[in-house]
Amino acid sequence: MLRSASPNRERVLIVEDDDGIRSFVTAVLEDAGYEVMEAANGVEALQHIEQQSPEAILLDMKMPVMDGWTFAARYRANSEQRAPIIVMTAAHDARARAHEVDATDVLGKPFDITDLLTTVARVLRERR
Amino acid sequence: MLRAPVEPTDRTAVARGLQIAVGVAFVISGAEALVAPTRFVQGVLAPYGRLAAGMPLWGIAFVAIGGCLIAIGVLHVGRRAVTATSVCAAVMLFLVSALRLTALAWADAVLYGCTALAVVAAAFLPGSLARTWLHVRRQLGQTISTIARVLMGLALIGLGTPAAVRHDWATAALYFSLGAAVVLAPGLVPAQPLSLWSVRVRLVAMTVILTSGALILATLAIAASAEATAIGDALADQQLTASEVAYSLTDGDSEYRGLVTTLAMRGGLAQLDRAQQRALLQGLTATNVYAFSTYDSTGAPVARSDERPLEPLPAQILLELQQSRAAGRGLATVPGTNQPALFFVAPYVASGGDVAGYAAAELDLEQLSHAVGALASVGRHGTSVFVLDANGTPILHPSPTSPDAATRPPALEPTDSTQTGSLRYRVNGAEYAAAYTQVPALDWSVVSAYPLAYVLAGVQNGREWAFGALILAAALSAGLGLFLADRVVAPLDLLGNAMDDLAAEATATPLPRSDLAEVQRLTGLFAAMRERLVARTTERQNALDSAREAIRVRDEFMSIAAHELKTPITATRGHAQLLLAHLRDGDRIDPARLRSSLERINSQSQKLARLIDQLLDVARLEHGILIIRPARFDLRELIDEVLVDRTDRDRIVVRAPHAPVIVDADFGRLEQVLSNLLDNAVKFSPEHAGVEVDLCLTAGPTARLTVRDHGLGIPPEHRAHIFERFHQAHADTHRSGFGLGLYIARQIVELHNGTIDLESPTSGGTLVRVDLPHVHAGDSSVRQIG
Repeated sequence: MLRSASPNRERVLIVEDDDGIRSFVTAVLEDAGYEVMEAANGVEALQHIEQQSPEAILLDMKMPVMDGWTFAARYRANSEQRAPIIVMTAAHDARARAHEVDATDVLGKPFDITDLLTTVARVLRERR
Repeated sequence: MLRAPVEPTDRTAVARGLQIAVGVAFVISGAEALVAPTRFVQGVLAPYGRLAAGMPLWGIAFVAIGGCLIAIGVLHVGRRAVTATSVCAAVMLFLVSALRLTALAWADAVLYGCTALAVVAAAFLPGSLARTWLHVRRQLGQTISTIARVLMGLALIGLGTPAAVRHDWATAALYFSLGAAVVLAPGLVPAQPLSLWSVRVRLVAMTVILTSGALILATLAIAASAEATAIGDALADQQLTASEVAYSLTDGDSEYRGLVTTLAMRGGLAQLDRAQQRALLQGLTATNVYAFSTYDSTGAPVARSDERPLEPLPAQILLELQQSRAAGRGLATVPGTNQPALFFVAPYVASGGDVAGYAAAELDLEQLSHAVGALASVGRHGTSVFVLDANGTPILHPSPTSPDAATRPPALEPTDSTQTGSLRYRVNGAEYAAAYTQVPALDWSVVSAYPLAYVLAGVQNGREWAFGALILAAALSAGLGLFLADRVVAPLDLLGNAMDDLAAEATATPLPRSDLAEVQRLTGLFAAMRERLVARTTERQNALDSAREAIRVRDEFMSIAAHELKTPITATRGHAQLLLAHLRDGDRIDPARLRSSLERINSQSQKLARLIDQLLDVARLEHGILIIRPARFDLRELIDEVLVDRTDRDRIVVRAPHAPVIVDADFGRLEQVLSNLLDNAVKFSPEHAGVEVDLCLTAGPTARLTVRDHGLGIPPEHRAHIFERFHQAHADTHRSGFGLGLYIARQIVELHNGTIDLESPTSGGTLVRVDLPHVHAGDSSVRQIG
């Protein structure tokens, strides 16, 4: 299952302040064959995007320095960047959070890695 | 025997005061009746001396009633006692009032009657009724004002009637419509509450009307009495003048009669011929006599002393002379003219005793009038003296050339038996005060008249002054009325404004100052009410604010808690699932990844445990069940213990005394505090920046532990709240934890009777100081760890 990744190495940006979560998400997605970029907050994420634009973004909302809302707004402000955003949130109203930043999908914490993989795959498929 | 409980009566202080006062008066009167009966008889029983027989009874009754009145005034007694006493007193007072009335002592009668009514009122007009009385008074006032208004309207309509009668329709319509408007005013204008300006105007108008009215009445009374005096004086003067003229006339009459009688008796007049007679007559002179003349027995002229034509004796005079056969007098004309003249005539007799002819002295009436006028001029300037004959026809008027000559007095009643009198009459629009005197010898009357306008000139002058004073007084009273009205109304106005403002939620409007007790009471009540309202509103607002704050804090906490708790769970679960997935796929797991994942699972579950511990600590603190198990230990050991477990201990510099620093404390809890302080210091400092831990002893004795970092420091706006629950000073840049660490630390330190505070040194960073009670090292110390 972990090997069922698409061969053309799609880029996924993960924006998450907790390195515990970031590390396993990175491991799972890399195992699945994605190219993963890691950012601990919105500022770092924007710096990454300037260099390489991802095909999908996994976004935590509550982060120090620059949170998910600010990041999403900044990202959307640049019209060239239209990668789908998947929100990762611990909030009980996860769908509302997703709606706030016009996200394509949402992962409610804690989530299973199968959910993670199917969601990312679905979002990328829809994008294509 | 059981009696119904006394029903206390609700009487005002005024009613009680009146009862006591009247009671005292009764007792004094009664004592007077017993001790000095004569005075009592004069003062109370006056015309009924025989009632004095029962004097001791009167005295005893008065004293008893007085005593009862004082008692009900002072004591809280039942309704029956008050009624009985008041009725007795009132009956007695009415009786005395009736006695005084029959003695024609009106003032006393009214006083006693009113006192009786007051006593009844005091008994039956308790507080609640007093309020009813206010209502009745208001109704009464309205009724009176309605009646006054209708009367005023009718008066205006009445004023318009003469205009209507003389077909002056415009004026009549003006008066009628004014009258109708006054009568119907309340119906035309919808009833409105009195505005405060209306109250001012009414008060001023009332002051002016009362002052002016009183002044007008006083002026009228004074003027009337002055007029009466002036007229009386004038009449007395006229009387004097009239009497003087009458005396002169009487004197003159007898003088002239004597003159002609003497002439007639001159011997041999009958024997003289015409020329001789003429010569004789020409030899005679007398005052006011312009000529002497003689006539024969038929009245035909014989001779004259002057050159005027000879005319026969007027028939009227001749007739009178023939009847009286004595000297007489009559009106005639100056011969050859129409000028009136007065003839004094006496018959002369022939030797046989028959009337041979008449001798006459002719007086010019005009001249005579001048003489009378001269007499009158001795009196007041402007006096006119008239002489009237028995028929009331004017004979003499003193100054025929003066305009007053035309103003003759009305004819006096000839039958008037009184010899003198006075009258007022009006001729040609001018009024005169006149006195008259009858001259019986002449059958004439003398009237001395004086224009009333002259009499009243002085009074009129006084009236003009009074009018000026009236205007001045009205102006002053209007000013005073406005001032007084303003004193009452202005504070009410201000108070009303303050109430309006309060309704609009403005609570700082200044309140009026007034020296009127009632206004002070209202202002005071309003101020108290407003204060309470403000206090209550503030209280409610505060409660609402704190409730909202509590809800906000709870929501925020829920959100933080969800994030903080779910984050380690997500990481733990993710790493576990990652390993499981690899195991399922039968892969050989890279040992480095296995190690890394397991380490993550370990550290994340530790983090989760710490968070849960914090939550549990807060729950314990809130329920007061966080137990401190004190033991005696050296704080230096605590520092060592904490540092041993820290991976970042190289950054931490410790300064501690050589001697042990002993405290009685919960080792585990203080370890928790120090760990938390060090965690914060490291977390908010740049990497590799030093953190200093200082331990020392200070006066107190106190063991002081300080943790100093060179990091971000606490922003000033957060310093006051840094020890509160859920407070995070750097939430925007460092998101981690619940914001409970310092809160728990403070609670633990305080449970140890210690203090924790925070300093922000100017050089940057933060200094946290923990002071704990120090135990002397000399004390037997047994180290225990709880």
